Amino acid sequence: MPTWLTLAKGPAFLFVLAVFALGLLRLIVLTVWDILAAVHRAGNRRMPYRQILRQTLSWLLPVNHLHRARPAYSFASFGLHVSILLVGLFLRNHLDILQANIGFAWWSISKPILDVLTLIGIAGAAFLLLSRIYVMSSQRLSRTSDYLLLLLLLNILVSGYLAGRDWNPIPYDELMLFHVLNGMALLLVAPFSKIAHCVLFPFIRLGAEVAWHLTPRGGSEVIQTLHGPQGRKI
Amino acid sequence: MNNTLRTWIKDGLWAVAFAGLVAAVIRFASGLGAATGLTDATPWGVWIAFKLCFVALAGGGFTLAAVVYIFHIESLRPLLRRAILIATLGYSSFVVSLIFDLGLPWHMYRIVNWQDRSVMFEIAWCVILYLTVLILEFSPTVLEHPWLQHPILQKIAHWLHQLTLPLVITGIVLSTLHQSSLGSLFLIMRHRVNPLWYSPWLPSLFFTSAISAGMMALVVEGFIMERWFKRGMRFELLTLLGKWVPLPLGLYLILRLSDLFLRGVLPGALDGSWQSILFLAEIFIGGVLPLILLGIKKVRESRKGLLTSAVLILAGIVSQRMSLSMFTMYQAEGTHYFPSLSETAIALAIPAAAILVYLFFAENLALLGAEIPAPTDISTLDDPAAFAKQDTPGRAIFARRSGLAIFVVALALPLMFHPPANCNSQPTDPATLTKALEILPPSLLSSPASCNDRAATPVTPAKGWDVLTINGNNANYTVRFTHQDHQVFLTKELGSEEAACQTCHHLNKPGDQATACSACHTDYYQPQSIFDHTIHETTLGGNTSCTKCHSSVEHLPLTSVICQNCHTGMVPQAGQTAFNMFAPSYLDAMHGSCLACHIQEAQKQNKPELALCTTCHPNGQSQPNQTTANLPKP
Repeated sequence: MPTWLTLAKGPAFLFVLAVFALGLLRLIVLTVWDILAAVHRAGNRRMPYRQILRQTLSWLLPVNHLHRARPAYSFASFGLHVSILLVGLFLRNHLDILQANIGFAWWSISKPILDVLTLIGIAGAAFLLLSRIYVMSSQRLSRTSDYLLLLLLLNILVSGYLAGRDWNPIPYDELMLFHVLNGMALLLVAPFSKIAHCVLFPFIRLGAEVAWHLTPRGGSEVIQTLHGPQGRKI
Repeated sequence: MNNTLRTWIKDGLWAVAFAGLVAAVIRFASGLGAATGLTDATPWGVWIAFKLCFVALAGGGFTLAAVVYIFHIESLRPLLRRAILIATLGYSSFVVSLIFDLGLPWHMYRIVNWQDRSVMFEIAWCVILYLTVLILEFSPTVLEHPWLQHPILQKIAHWLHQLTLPLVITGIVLSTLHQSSLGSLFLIMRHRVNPLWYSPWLPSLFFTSAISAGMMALVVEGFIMERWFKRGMRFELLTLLGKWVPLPLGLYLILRLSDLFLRGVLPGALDGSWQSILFLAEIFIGGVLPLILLGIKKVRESRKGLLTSAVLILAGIVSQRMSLSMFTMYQAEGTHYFPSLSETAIALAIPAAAILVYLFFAENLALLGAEIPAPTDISTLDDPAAFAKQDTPGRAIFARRSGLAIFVVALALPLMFHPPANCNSQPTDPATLTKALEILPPSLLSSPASCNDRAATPVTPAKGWDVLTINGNNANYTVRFTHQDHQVFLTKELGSEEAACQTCHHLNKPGDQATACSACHTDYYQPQSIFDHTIHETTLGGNTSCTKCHSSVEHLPLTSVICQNCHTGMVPQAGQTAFNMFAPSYLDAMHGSCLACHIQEAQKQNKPELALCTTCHPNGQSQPNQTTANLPKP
């Protein structure tokens, strides 16, 4: 069996998968915990929960919120996200590996469609990387990890695309090993980097919406509520 | 000991406990066979050995209770709470460990059936009752906590206080009974116990050594807690324990050695085997030496001297329990026991969790001194900056422990979990493939049974824990076994459940580890798929190669081209239209490699009996005769 297949079906992959799944689960728990703690501390009884929920749900499909001022950026980012999600979760080969590791998988999308999506993803990732490098406002906001994560994504997309091509110039096994190693690295860093937004985004959104509705200086006022104006304990 | 070190030690204990949690899930999901190194021939392993140690170390509970309440040696009363907590945790560990060790722990309710000839029955009842007594004895300490000052709880605490003396007496009787009957367990397995550890007086040996171990466990715990909490040791009381422990320990040593001497086994201790060296070390370093050390007043009353003696005594008694039940136990011929990773993880996780519970109680209860540690002062909350930094209670702890848990669980999972066998997971060597095709009898070419066919047959998932994962040859290559389906089917076929059970569970022969699946499933060795898809895929260029063999979109064996399209050198035999992908069964392969030569030699040597079936299979045995199988190959 080639190394890449041993890695993908073996214990190392199970380790990565467990870190990925459990790490993200832990982040969700911590985020919700923090939101609840913030609400509790602020003591705002008139929090408009319905509005908050509606806003949070509307952000689940960000098509409505595409950035009008930077359409190219928006489309590149949107394309990259759709591409990664669909290709990552619905490619037959990926699902086979999942089946081999955890014993179940789901239906797949046919390959020609995913090939097109991969190309969109590559274009999107390349555009985002270039704009981070050359657009001054993006550059100022970027940390090293932002570049590295985009590069990692680009590695995965390009190597995955090449592996399926007849004209692929690189030896198949070596290319797949590269693809699998990069994929495992992505899963492994996901709970410890901004990649965590793949499951955290509704919760981050919820936190942001809640934060908008906290009363000003809610933190210190709650102490006054608890302890009275003179610091006397009630 | 500084805070960082404390946190590191706690993290370590949590990590061990988390690993044990993973192992626990695996043990219950896949069964004892797959999760442990235990077999039918070696059913007792590291769990039993640890269990004996837990109970021995818990001996301080009844010893101190007797000393304080019965003999009225009031000066030792400050140690009582700790002794009872250690005993409670020791016995809880025993019970938790037992839940893992019993094949079907949910059948535990069956101990209501009276069994007046079973030592196990007595132990089970004593342990359950004594653990209840210990919990009742310890509850008043818990109910002192400021959070538990509800009037009803205080009423309960008051009743428990009233009940102390009857509880203590019950506790002493129960633990005396079963500390000794743990020793009795080994009386009925004399043939497996090493003579140097065997003694008809094992019950008395267990009892006396449990008293010594319990007292010394208190001494060691005192030293550790002093390092940890900087209080609570009461050195003068521990010295008192050191002064009195030679009594039970000396009795234990005298009983043990005199029995061995009287029965004439003692010379075996000098035969130079590793068992004899272990025995001598156990007796002299773990028994006689600390006895002498404690006899010297100056040593006994020095911190180092007392601690050294206590550790030596504990080591000696732990060694006695573990050697008796594990290290020196005779194994049946051809069997071998080594604890599996998940088994070890569970064995270690239980004491780790017990230590964490101990620390939790020591931090929150008036266990070591009289005072209860003060809760965090909330007056600092008035400062808004300090408030903003303040985490919700437990948040930081949860973040730290869950972060640790993720890595431990993720590491433990692939190490301990062996997924069930997959049909395509074993690649076939191409050389074997070609060879197999050569010797394949034509009759088998139409055989439908193959790995692929079996994979296509859906297996109905059984409810609950009825599917066991059997690690058949202990080769970390497991199969799923639907126990309930087998049970139901066999009961229907044979008419009674008893007969159904016996079909599989009473077939073991000496040296057998378990009844093989092939005993009933005679198709176990039917032809196997020898076509290696992976090798073909890789050589033909990975994902792009599918269409090189498969004509349609459906990538099935049916839509693939025949082998000769590429392997032009492969020519079918006369009357054969195509190759198939099956290797012969084990049986056919064996016959294939023996029969031809047998027939040839029968003619050549004019010995027709060489070609008869009964020559290799006398009395209609399905397996060839061992003596002929050992003959040199022609």
